[in-house]
Amino acid sequence: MSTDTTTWPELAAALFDQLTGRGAEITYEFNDMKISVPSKAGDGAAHADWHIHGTLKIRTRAN
Amino acid sequence: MPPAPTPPLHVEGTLTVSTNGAAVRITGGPEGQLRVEIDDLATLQKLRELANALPGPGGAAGPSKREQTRRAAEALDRFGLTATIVLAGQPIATVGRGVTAGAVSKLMNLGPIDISKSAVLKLGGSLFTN
Repeated sequence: MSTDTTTWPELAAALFDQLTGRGAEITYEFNDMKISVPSKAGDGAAHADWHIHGTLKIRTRAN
Repeated sequence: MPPAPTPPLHVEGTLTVSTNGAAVRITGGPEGQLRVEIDDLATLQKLRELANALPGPGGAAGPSKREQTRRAAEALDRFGLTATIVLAGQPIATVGRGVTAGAVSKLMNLGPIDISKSAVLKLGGSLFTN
């Protein structure tokens, strides 16, 4: 996995690159997961509460 | 050496992401199709505002709308996925594998996303703001 990863999409892409080449299936199962996302780094940041719920299964189409 | 090609992905299931009363549902379908559903225009605008407020790496300002679109298109294409964005039950845009820029996208220099005429009617001038 690249050490240059700086964003979530890049991290996800790097992770899939590693796993899909091995024929993996990934299941993301969220049960009302709550994430408090800061508007900026450091003190004084406002936070937005995000909720994620549901299940996604991801696999290579060749499987 | 360039990285090995990524095999196309299949996504199934439904995920709901919500914040502050705004929700988006992502549903996987056959042949790498993704359906991204947003209930109404107010929700779409709220989600856009929230996305624009997200910080970039190291707390820097986040990427512009054009850059976000370009990155999304690139990531979807890489994994053989095509996303259809549905607003209030009507498809308004398609992005990802096999999608080329439509007339509206070319006008806005948005890259490979096909924005429908109904989207232009619904979104109007807000399409052209960052």
